Order: sequence, then structure tokens, then C-alpha cells
Amino acid sequence: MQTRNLFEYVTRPEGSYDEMFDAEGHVRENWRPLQSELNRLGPLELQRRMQQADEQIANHGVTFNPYDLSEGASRPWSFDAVPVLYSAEQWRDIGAGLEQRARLMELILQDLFGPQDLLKSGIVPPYFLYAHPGYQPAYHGLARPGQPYLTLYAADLARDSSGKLWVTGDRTRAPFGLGYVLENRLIAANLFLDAFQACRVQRLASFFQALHRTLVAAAPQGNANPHIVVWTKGPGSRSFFEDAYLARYLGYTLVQTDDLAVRNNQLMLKTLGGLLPVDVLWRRVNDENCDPVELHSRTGGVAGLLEVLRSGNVAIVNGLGSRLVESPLLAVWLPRIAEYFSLGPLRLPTKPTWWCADENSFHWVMAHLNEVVILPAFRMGNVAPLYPADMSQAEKQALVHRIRSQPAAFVAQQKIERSTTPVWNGDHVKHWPLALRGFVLGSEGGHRTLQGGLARVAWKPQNLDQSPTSGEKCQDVWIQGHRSAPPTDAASSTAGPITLKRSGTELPSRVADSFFWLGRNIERAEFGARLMRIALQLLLNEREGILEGSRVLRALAESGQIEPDLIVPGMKETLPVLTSSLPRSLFSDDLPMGFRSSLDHVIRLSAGLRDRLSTDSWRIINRMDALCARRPASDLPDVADATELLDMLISIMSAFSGFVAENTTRTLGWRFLDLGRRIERAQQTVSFLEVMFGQTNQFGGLVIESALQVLDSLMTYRLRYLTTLHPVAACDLLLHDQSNPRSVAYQLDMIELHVSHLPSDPQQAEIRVDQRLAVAMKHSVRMTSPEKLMVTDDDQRPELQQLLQRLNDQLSELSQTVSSRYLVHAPLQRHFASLLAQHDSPRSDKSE
Amino acid sequence: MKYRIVHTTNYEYESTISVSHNRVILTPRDGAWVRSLWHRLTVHPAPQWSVKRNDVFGNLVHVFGIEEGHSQLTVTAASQVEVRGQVLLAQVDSPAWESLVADPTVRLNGDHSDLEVVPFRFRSPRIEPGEKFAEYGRASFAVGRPILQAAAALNAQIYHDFKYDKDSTDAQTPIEKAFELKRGVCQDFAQIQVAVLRSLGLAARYVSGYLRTLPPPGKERLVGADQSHAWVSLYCGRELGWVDLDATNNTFCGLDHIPIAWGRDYSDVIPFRGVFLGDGRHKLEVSVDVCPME
Repeated sequence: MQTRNLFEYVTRPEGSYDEMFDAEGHVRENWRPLQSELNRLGPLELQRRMQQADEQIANHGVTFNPYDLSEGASRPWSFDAVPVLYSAEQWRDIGAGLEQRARLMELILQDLFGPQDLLKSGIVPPYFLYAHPGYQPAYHGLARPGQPYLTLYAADLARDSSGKLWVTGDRTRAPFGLGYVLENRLIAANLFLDAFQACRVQRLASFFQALHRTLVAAAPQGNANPHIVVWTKGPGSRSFFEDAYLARYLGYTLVQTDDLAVRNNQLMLKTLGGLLPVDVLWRRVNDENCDPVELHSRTGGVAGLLEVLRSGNVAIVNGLGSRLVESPLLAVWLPRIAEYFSLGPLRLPTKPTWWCADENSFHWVMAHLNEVVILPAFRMGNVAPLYPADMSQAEKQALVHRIRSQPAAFVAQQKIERSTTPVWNGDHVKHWPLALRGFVLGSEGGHRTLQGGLARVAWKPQNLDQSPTSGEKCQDVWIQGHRSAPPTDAASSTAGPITLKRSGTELPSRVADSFFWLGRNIERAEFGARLMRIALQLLLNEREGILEGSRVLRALAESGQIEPDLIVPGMKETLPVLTSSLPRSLFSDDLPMGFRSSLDHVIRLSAGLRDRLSTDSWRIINRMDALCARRPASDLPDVADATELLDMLISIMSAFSGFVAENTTRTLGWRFLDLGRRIERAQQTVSFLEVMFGQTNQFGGLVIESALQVLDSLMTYRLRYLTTLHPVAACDLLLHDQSNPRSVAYQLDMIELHVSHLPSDPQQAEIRVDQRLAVAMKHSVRMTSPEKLMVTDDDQRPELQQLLQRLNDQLSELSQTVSSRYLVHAPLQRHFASLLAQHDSPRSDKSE
Repeated sequence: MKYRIVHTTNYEYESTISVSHNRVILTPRDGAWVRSLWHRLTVHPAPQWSVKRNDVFGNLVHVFGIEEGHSQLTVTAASQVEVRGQVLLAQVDSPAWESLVADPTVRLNGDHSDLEVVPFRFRSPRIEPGEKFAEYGRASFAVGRPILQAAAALNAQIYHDFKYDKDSTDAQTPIEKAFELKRGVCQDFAQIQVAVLRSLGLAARYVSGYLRTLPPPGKERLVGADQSHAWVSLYCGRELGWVDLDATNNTFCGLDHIPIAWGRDYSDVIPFRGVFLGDGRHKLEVSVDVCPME
């Protein structure tokens, strides 16, 4: 087979450092196995594998973006298959540098919130601590002896043209990226298995095992099997995917703020079964958002958490206040601090940094503006650095003015140079600037660097400087070993005994709530699709008056699938309007109960359940979203296309039901999902039957046929009654027949079953309201006969109307009862109004 | 002077509250011229758990949780304190105010005791020092003026420039607004005064406490009609230490001022902070009684 050198097109900028090629253009020794595998595979095969990788990522739900209309929640980069390689020797040095920095940051935090020797001995000015906008007095005295501030530390690295590595930023709050490191490895290792083995790439798993051991050891009172939770900011946040990924990988519970509460000075997780104690809190939320009672930002958190921490009843990772040492300003004193703590010279120094508050530094910076980037002295979020060199004269003047008026608020850092590394562009290899993030685990026993990292690449180096998540692509980082590492298992496998568990009541109430509404919305979407499909079929039928006579349009309006004004009398004239407006309704955002809205709810809710839905369910939800992507008015399908689209959607939704039915364990989560579905289907069917059969009209046969079709029961009906369309028979099949999975009776049976399995308060003997309702509904249907219900009075069917109306009300009541009992477990927290009254004092008389 | 103080805070909720979590700072603290003799904090209904500790500024904080349904919460802080009062500061010589100014960006030069002072030189959640505050203060802080004289002058300046007006601000009003309106209550005046002093490079803290009020001539003292109060404490050097001034009443703090807590601003010493689960509607009643014990 002909092999072509993929790297022959390479052109590298002069005077830069490339990770793969040395200055003479020779491939570095340790990259050879990868080079030969890439060349052996050739561009076509590489491209094929890349596509495979993309699919794999899509299947992980990674590209899935629950908020595609809002910013920032999606995966920040696309994946590039080419890894970055470091030899064992290179990484040993880098690791030693990272660990030294992690140790240093740890000591700084312990000192600043403890004895403050760094301030007393004049190494760090008090400004660094007290002027920091994130400083809170409550951070003093929170740390537990022996428990480090920084269980996880990360540093961003850049290599200059001489090959020297510099730190461009420290991350100490909740370093981002470990989830992506895991995922990149999963994909890249499979893509180039031969090279992966030839390079003897070190495994990641042992780091995560050590992380798990560290978190277990951090638990209070030496609980050997502690309850560890990952506290995420929620599905709207940038790190949500990663939070969910890590929680699942390590087997921890993923929680949001509303899932947590403090009772009796103990942190609790609110679950369906009641409150469960939490031992270790791996937080991904900001320091200042942890406790609304004690911290100054009143933006959420768990009331009383800080007191729990002080009492030692929960361990928090990373410690509160950790984010303070992320400040670029710290770099100014870092070498002296390292000396003070006898850690020797910094192996991985920060880029030279000048504080504009210092007069000499200020003058130097003003004279060398083009050689530096300007950063805020304190880091409170992602603020992109400013590049004076790229500014117009006016912009530069404005910047100088800003610095001059507030010199202490700014630092200047020497401009960042970056090495380049190979990136696959679909045809050959290009060389893009690289940003490398390394991770360190800190525990009582010492520090340990991850044998791997997160590589970000972008065609323009400045794109990498913007934030820790900027850049176009990310790559796996391969650390080569002298020996191939023995394969190890993922998360935690311990030899000790394990308590076997079956479906627990430890399901967080919020999760149950999401399952319930996911069920309702999927069902609502499916019902809407079925109705719409019949309407479109009737619309294509040329017989006059048929659509109007069938009542399907009214049913559509009734269930919120179309605008109600589409069913005004005199339908004939509106027919042409209908051919365009019906398909449009499918994509309309303006109908809160419409198909697109239901689908949006499905997507949003599934996003929150990311750690609990299977990959297959994901794929299905993704596909539905893609099929119903919003499109311009010019691109709306016509009636025939829309019918086809609906066929496809309905079969996809049926597939989802199948997955849920077959592949979900019968835990409470599943029960709430199915309960939601059943309640929704019952309610939709009940109001549908009322529209269709509440009154009679001359199109009796057509109405029956349409109703049977919408409720997917036509086939069964034909098998039983052949072509005779009789309302009593239809009523029996759609309302009473417990063997028909689309009948009302069937839904009510299922509802009763689910409700009877919901957790009860063992101390309460009497039967619950939700159970009573379920039983009452089931019996009210059973106690009626189809013949009696179908009796007409004039053109009305009063008995039927009455029954359906009552069922409708009872279903709503049931839904509310279940919600308030199990789901809205978390009423809103309220703050006491601030007490002005306590603090206003009139002038006393005597001093007048 | 000895006082008996009873400070009652009463919440009545429209519906039952299942859980509430509270943090109160209601215990008078010892100082150079004040001594706490006795204190008792009573909470009704009885909390399921409570913790008592000092915050980083040395204030006594009580934290408690009530985890049974309740529709009323009463917190009574009863104290006995002895106030000796500050020395007659108006007659004391003091150093030029500039000698107490420190550039906050500069490192400490081995003077450890400064660590008690430095946290009060910086911005804080409700106070952002700035040139406009400094400029306002320069009218009183003339070049070379002894710090006590200058501080007393600023006290008078605020007293005369600002109108006491309960309705113009509330506890959440940013000081910038009160500064612009030239109106407010003791909390606003104290925070503005702190902002001015810090903007000039001095260290100043916010003090919350009680003020004994005298009944109008010929009238009986009304029980429960006294008030919580707020003033500032200014660092005047090693010798004089912290000096307390009350701009609301244009005076150095004397025998009528009883400090509870101090911090960088109001947010550090909020007397009652809490979160509860349930309907938000509630009624609040506060009564303070400062009674001389002689």
C-alpha cells in the first residue's frame, strides 16, 4: 500500500518551538510511533476515523447543547484526534514543577487564612488579601486541620520559543477539564491503538482512584463508605457536562443547590425517602455562593453550610477561599514566597508580572506596553487579557488612563508565546499554538500529578489566552512511560465488602421532578404529533368539509397544538391558509403547549438528567431535536413533507418509550417518568374524547375513525368489528378496555399501580390523597357502561361529558398532589427582610 | 455607668415555617471603655441546635436552627454592661492625621500589631472608597491638623450636611445614594463616615450598638422605646488606639453608647440574618430597652 507523508506540507513559523519537530525539522524521537501510524493510516482512513470520533462524541451527549439559543453552555471545543506527546523525562520535570506550585499555593492559603506570616514579615502586602473582591472574613477559621485547601489544583502552561515552560494561570477553585481529559482519552486511545501501545501511554485511572481515596479519607469521623456528592451549578452552566461526567465516572451523586439543606448542623441531601446526610461535598460552585447567611453575596447557596464546615460535619473540596490565589497579582511575590517557605526556586515560574501600583513597575510597563498583556490584578471570573500592542493609539491612551486612575487594579504580564503542535485539518496536518493544562491532586499524604492533561489548540494564539475554555479544539495528552502501564479499572474497585442496593429512595426530589415532567412532555409531544398527522392526512383528502367534520382541528386547538383562531367557522376559505399554517405550528415557539415547546421541555429536562439517562435515550432525544430544528419560514415543509416528518418523529418517540420500558431499572426515577406519561396520556385522551364524542354530528363514522387513528387503535378495532364503525364499540375500546394500552382505563390502572409504589411515611396509617384519587378514578370508569355513556340527549352526550370532565379535574388534582408531596420538596428559601428598624436611631435630645 | 438592656426581636409569620436558620449578633462586647457583665440570649421556640462563637473581628455570634413548624420567632437578648466612657478626647493632643495614613498597597514593615488595623483600610462589601469621599473629607482634614480635631470636625460636618430622614433610605440603600441625597439614618451616616476616612487613607470601622435615649424633660422614660444605633471607630495611632465617634449626634461616644459589634461595614455586623422555608409574608417587631441600673 502506498503511504504518503502527511507531514510533508508542514510549514512552521521561524523561531517558534514545535512539540513534534525539532529546530532542524526532524521529528522528535518520542513522536515517531505516532508519526508512523498516522502515515500508515493515510488521509482517507484518518478522516474516516475522525468522523467516527465525532459520532462517538455526539453519542456521549457531549455536543448536545441544552441551551443552543443561549450562550456558553455547550461543549467549548471540538475534538482533535492527534494527541500531544510528552516523554517520561519531560513529564517528570513538568510534574515536579506542578506539584511544587500546588504545594506553594496550599501553603499560601493556609497562611493567609491562618497566622498571616506572609503579611507580618512584609512579603505580601495586606492589599492582596483584603482588597480582593472575593475576600470574605468568614473564610478565616473554616479549614479543618489536616484537610488541604487544594485537593485539586491546575495550572495552564505555555512554552516559549526556547522550549522553556511558563505558567500563564493557576486554577484553585474547581479546576475545569478533568471530565474532558477522560473523554478525550477514551476516544483518542481507540483511534490510534497501535501508536497508543507503542508509546506506552500512562493510564489516567490511577489518578482518579487516588482522588477517590482522598475524598473518602476527607470524610468526617472516618466514615469508610461516605456519601460523596458533586455540587454543580446546574445544567445552564459551562461545566455541567463535565460535572455530570465526573459524577457518573466516580459513582457520586450529582446535586444542585436546591437538593441540599442543613438540618441539625449537618448537611443533607433531600431525597424522596427523606433527608440523607452528606459527608463530602465536591463543589463546582463559586466560593461566595456557598452560604447565603454567612457570605456577602446573596446569590444562593445552602443556608448554614459554613457552620457545618466549622463543626467538621462535612468536608468540602476545594476549601472555601481557595479562589483567592488564582489572582494574577500573586505572581509578583511568588518567587519570594517560595523562598520563604523553603520550596527553592520555582521550577515552573509564572510569566514575568508587574504590578502597576508599584511606581517602578508602572514606569517600566508604560515604557514597554507593546511587550505585555494587561490583566486585572484579581481574578473573579474570566476576563480576557488586553493586548496594548494590537490597540490603536486612542485605545492605548484610554487604557493608560484607566491604569493611571487605578494602578493597583492592574498587572502587566509578559506576552505569552506558545509552541505549536500538530492538528488534523481533514486532509493533512497543520501546526497550531498549544495551551496545556496540568492537574495535581493534593492530599494529606502529598501531591500527585495527573499523567495526562488537557491540550487546547487554536489557529491564533490569542484565542487561547481569552479564558481557560477558549480555543477551537482540544486534544488528548499522552505521557509516555518506560514500561507500558498495566490496564486498570475505572472508578472505584475495592476489595472490601459492599452493601448491595436495590432501587433507592435516595433519589433527589429534583431529579424525580425532572423525570415526572420529562414523562409528561414526551407524551404531550407524541400526542400532538399523532393529532397533527391525522389532520394533515385529512387535509390532503379532497372531500369537502371533511376536516371540519372530523373535529380533529378542534382537538388540535383544544390541546394547544395550533392557534385557536384557525378553527373559526367558514373553514372553507381558510383551507389554503391551513396547508401552510398547520406544518408551521409544529415548529412554532409561540404555542406554550405546542409540539416544539414540549420538545424543548424534553430537551431541557433531559439535560438536567444527563447523568441518569442512557446513551441510547440521548441519541434519540438528539435526533428529535435535529429533525425539528428551527428553520426559516421559507424552509417550512409542505403538507406531504410534514406528514413524512411526523411519521419519522412518531416512530422515534415510540423507540424512546421502548428504551425506557426495556432499559431502565424500575427505580423511583423510572416510576416518576412513567407516572408523568400516564397522567399526561390519560388527560390528553380524556379531553380528546370529549371533543370527539361529547356531541354528535353527521360525520359520525369519520369522527370515530379519526379518533381510533389518533389513539392508535384502528387496527384493534378492525380486527374486532371489521368495518362497522359504532360509537359504543369505539367508546369501549378507547375508554374502558384495560387491555388496550391507549385506553383511559389502561392509563388509570398504571397510575394506580405507580402511585401505590411511591414512598409512604411509615408512621402514617391512613391511605394518601394521591392513592385515593387514583383508586377513585379507576373505579369511576369501571362503574360506567359504554352504552349508557353514549346515550344522546339532543346532540349532546351528558353522561359522557360528565365523566370525562370529572376525570379531567381529578387528573389535575392528582398531578398537583404528587407534585406537592414528592416533587416540590424544596420550597423557596427566603431571607429575612433586612432590619432597618433595628438600626435607625433618632438624634438624642441632649446633643441638640 | 451600668445598664440593663433588653432587645427583643419578634417575627410573626402568616403561615407556618418549617425550618429556619439564623445568625444573630446581639451580645454587647468588651472594649477599652465598656465591660459586659452578664448576657443571656433566649430564643422561642427553642432551637433544635445552636452554636456560639467569635467571628474574625471578635464579635460574639450565635447561630441556631429551628426545625419544627413555627409561626412565631422571638429572640430576646438581655445584657448588663458597664460603660466607663472614653477619656475626654476633645482635650487630648493627637498626632497630625497624615502620620496615620498608610498606602494600602505597600507591604507591612515588620509591625505586627498593624494586622489588627489593616483590614479596616480597604474596600468592603458596602463601602467602596473613592476620590469623591476623600474630597468631601478634606474640608475637615486640613493639612497637618491633629487627627482628633479633624475627626471631630468631620463628625460635625456630616451632622450639619445630612438630614436625618427615616424614609429616604433603607438597610439596602447604597451609601453612594445616601451621600448624594445628603439624607439617611445612623447606619448611612456611619458608613459614609467610614468611606470618607478610608478614602483619606485612614483605618475606620463600623460599630453597631445601643444608644441610651433620655426622655423629654418632665416625661417618664418609656420602656422599649430605645434604639439600636451605629457609629464609627477611627484608628488614631498606637497611643490613642481606636476612638469612637457618633456623627448622628455630633459627639465622641460617651457614657450613652454601648457597642455590640464592629466590622468593616454594616454587612459584617447585621444583628439578625436568617433564611427560612415557607411563605415569605411576615411581620416584624423590634423593641430595645436601655435602662440605667443605678
